[in-house]
Amino acid sequence: MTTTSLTGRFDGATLAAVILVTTGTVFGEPALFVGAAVPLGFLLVGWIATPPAVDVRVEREIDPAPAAPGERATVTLRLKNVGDATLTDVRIVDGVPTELPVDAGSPRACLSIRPGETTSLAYAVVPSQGAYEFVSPVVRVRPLSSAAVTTTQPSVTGTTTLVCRRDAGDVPQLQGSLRRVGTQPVDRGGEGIEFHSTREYRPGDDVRRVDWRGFAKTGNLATIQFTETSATETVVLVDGIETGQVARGPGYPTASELTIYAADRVVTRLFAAGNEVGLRTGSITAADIPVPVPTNAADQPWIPPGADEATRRQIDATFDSLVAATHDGERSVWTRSRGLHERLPANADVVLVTPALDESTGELVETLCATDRHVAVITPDITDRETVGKTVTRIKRRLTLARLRAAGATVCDWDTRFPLARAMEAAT
Amino acid sequence: MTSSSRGGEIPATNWQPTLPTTTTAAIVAVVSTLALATLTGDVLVALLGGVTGITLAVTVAAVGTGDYRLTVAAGGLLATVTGLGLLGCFAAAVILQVAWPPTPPFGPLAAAPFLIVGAGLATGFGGVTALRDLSPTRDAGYTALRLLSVGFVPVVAIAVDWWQPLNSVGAELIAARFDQLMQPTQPTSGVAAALPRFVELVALGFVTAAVLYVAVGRLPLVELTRESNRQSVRDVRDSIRQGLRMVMAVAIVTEFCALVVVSSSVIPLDELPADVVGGLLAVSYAPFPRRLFVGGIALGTATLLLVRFVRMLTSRQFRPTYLPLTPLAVGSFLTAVAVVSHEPAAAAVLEQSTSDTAQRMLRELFATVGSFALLTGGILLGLATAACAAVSVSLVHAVGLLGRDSGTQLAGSGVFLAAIAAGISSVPIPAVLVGVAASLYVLDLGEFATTLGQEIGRAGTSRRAEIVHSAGGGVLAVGTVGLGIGTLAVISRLPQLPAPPTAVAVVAASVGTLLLFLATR
Repeated sequence: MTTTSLTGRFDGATLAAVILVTTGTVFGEPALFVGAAVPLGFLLVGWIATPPAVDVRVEREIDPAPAAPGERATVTLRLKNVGDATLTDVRIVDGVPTELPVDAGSPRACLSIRPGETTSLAYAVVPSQGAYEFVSPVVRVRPLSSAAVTTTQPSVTGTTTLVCRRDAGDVPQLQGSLRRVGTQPVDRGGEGIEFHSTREYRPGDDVRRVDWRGFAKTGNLATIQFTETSATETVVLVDGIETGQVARGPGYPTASELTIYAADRVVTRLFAAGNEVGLRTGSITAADIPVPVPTNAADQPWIPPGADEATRRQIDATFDSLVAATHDGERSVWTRSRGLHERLPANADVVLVTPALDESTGELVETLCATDRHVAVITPDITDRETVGKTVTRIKRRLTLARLRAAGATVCDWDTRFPLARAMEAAT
Repeated sequence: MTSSSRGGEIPATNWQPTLPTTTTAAIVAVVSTLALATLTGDVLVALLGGVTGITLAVTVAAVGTGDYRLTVAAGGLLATVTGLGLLGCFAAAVILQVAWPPTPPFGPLAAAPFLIVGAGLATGFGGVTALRDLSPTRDAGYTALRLLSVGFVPVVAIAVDWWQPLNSVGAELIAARFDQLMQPTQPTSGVAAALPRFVELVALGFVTAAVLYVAVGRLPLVELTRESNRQSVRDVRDSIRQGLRMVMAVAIVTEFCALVVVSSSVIPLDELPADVVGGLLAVSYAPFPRRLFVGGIALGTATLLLVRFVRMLTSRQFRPTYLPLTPLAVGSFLTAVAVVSHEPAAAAVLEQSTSDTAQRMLRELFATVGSFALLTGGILLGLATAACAAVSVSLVHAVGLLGRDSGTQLAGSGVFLAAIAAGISSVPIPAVLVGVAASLYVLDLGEFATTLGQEIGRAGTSRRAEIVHSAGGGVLAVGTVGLGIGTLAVISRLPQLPAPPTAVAVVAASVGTLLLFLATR
């Protein structure tokens, strides 16, 4: 719908003209009489002003599509002036869904566009899992005098829906210290990260594996062999969903949602590397999951490690139910230690994914590390220092992470403003 | 959009007028005012007015919006200086026109320096409030309230020091003035005597309508009405306020016309018909309308105070036990300064006075009133002047003459006042035209910045459009100046009209017709 109106921009000029004429009369000054011509000029400009036509073509682009939870999606709105006249004052407000927070830039702009020119405005949003329907932007155009205004909602070409899925984006590589997750050393030289032995150089060997230091000393070419690793069992524990119902700001994904996303990405990576993966969470019961899954005594999902399709489906269904639980705000009592150690395979690595906003996370990790198994912790950080309360939470979380590292766990502290993969690389 | 780039709520400052255009408007206003003041030869009073306007704005910012006690205390002290500065500005405008020391009798004073003082005040105050986006209603009104709290201790001190004279002479003086206002003594004849009373009556009517307008707006009638009846109650309230607004408009126009008749010789008073003169006398001196107006003011003020009191009772911020400690402490400090310094100050003034007459007058004054009361009274006068200035801004906004972009409106009005001053000071007409165009340009920029802030916000992209609008507005202003110069050229080629009143009537009729034509559109 298009509406047009006059703004009454120069109403003040009427008063100015009256005052000038009156004071000119009182003081008998011709300068003031003539001065009234100036506001009258403004009034005449306002009088001849007509609401301008909104000859713009609008296109929206969202990148990436689909987006991952917590990932910044850039929305670009391009406006092209398809008319013959310059649009000096084009105000546009994009129809961002109310539940979608704008993280950078602004979906509002006032633009000046020449005929045939295309200008754009870009802003970033941070979605949670789901689909977000954008409505048409409101465009308001004024002439140079601003004496009239036309408001409309033009149709938009391009993307109108932002889809945010847990399986979107690249699967992060488990690098750095996390590379050990899901592997165990075997007494054989080959690919790996730990030194095993050297052997005589063979044509075709990677030059990066040549022992150049030895070559400098002896003049003989040799190739370095690392301790090879083989895939093993890994159990992913999803923890702290109840305490993670907090977000960086209104509309932002909660720590719980980001925890589930991180767990999903780790499970996908481990499956891709040929590992056997299991899942344990105490935040929901088997009744919440639409497919039958193995449970513990408390009827909570306890999916044993496996590399088959059935295990993958069970884990996916569990993640879906966890996401639904976070959206519904459901809570469940986490009974960590009950049957955990008894059910964990003896040689299984553990990946704990948790917001680490609960002090008991430290106890759990210390218990796990005490059994001499490799424990990695992936934890999304949604804390900041905007308020005193948030600062206290941030400090407590830092202390918890220090405790985890002291216990011997590999900690991946994921600053959720950046991609998960970057945090994986820097994990210590 | 409800969140900021860091995840928090969008700060309220985002929706304030955009800074580049507002800054441009403020700069144009200051430069134009000073340039016009330079042309009229009153740049000193313009600067004085500008600085006082700025200090008044800083006072409002410190006292009205300050959250820290130290800021409020500093603002309270600054208010005293500001009030005295306000009085000093107008005193300077007088002193520049009479020899120093002023020796009666004085000749008629020119209006231009006073207009320039007003221009400096409005531009300085408007420029700062535009950049800080102070709210004239809330911040200036709240400032006045706090300044009244500051004045409490000095008033008590003077009352204690000066109780007897206040009880007798002062009270009698006030009572006599009030009686005169309510029931003026009617002269036997003469329209010249009736007109000042008529002006007084119309001013009383305007104040009554303004007070009732604000009071009706403050009454929580809509909130206390049932949901089903709210719209009708709101309509009735709006109708009443609309009527009161019309009364105010009529009063302003009538007042202006009456002032024109009083101060100019366009309409010879002697030639007015006897019936008109009789009617004017009857209306001007009739006690009933005056009682009605005073009753209306009393009713409106009582309503305002009652509403404020009830709101205070239910408020968490200003609970009944709330004690304005900082303003009272500032008042106590000022009183202590007066206690310590009134005797040395009186001695210094006596020492400085050169003539015997002046010394005798000062001694009599100190003996009658007291040096302490005089010094504390000066402090109180400064506080009261600053509070009155703040309340005036608040009232002007309340009656609708100042809009949401009040800062730039005030700055533009300052330039306009300077242009009028230039117009009556024999400054070249093109300079006057440029001044008028600059004032309208400032108003235009202010309106643009305000709507841009409200619709797009400071976080939105707008730089290029702001530059385009500023340039376009400048071209428009230059064009209107050209139109004025063209009009001037045409007028200079026209044959001389037979008499000034006829010329005035012709021009007024032409302009009025054009304005009516544009208004009906």
